[in-house]
Amino acid sequence: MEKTIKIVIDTKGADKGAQMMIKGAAMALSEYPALELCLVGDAELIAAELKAHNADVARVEIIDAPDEITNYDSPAVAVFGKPESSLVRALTALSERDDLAGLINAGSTGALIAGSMRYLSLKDRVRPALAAVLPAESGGFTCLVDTGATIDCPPALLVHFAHLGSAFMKEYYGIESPGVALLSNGAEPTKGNAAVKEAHQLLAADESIRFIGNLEGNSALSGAADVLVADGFAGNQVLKCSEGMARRLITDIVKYAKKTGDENIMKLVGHLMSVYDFNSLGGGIILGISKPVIKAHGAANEKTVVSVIGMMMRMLENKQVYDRDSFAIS
Amino acid sequence: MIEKLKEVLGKVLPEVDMANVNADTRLIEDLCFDSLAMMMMSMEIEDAFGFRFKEFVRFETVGDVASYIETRI
Repeated sequence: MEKTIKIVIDTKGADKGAQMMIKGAAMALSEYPALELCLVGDAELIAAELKAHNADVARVEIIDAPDEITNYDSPAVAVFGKPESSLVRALTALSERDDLAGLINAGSTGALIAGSMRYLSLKDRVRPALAAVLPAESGGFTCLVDTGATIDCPPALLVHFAHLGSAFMKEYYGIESPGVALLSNGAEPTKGNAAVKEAHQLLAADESIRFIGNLEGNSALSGAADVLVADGFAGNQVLKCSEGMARRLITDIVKYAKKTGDENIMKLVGHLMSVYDFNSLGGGIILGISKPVIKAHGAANEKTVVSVIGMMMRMLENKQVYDRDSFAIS
Repeated sequence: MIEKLKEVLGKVLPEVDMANVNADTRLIEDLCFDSLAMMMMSMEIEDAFGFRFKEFVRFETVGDVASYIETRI
């Protein structure tokens, strides 16, 4: 019998509402036979929506949560002050139960990071980061870290992000010795702002990671690095510019295809959408905590929810292999 | 108290030299604290001093933190 993976979904907080999250969860149950879900939110609504979408309810647990953390709440204040919110209940369950493997949320990013730090800290507590796993030209993936959790980063924090990204790609993407690069405005060690230049020296001297040097923004998606380190401001710009550029290119190609009536070009558009549209990509991952937590795009639709659950499933399956191999070696 | 608190701050900000930190040091302006650092400090304080914060507190200075801890232990 296939081993099941049970994932927690916070159904509240998404721009398109809880119904969309529950519909996406129901679709994912059909897509992934090994999936079990723990849905947190308005229990009556969850039960009704699951029934409406003919979901396999035997694979779903529901945790009722009457309250919600919104984007108008101060993240840290809400994490302490809203114990009956769906996010706090979801994180509490995830931290206390071994059968729950990870969490997906599409609400307030700040509250998710603050809450993850509060409930899922490692034994040796570290500052978390928000990463994005980007599809690379090489066919692999690049983990961009940080993408906005920490805007101003001293050099030591950039080194910390390098370690978080490297450990993540090893554990969840099966890369034995991830190549780590530093985002800069030139390949030479002398390029970059003061923090980047100092971080370059620190990373070059750090034998515990495989530092491959600086990388410019136009190579961020090339696959040259498994991990690309940046402060949250620059990392967020790389992410958003990539999204914007992909959308712009796809829009132009669609216009051209409509003008020419070329069906092959529309097939190309379908392929590009499957690779670059954020609804197909998954979401941001919080690094530096004890279990995987993925932040889906606030504007997520039900297809995004299925993609994010798929991403979590693949990560957890890779981790099972990693844990087994690590155990065998030790 | 301040010395023990400086140990806690050292865990939150390992890159900062704590030698010049005193009760008047401002968390945001002088130590560049953000909300994540404030949260991490709260949790390190809980571990070090053995109590739980009931709500999130935005402290201004290191002295404010020390005074708050004294009311809780």
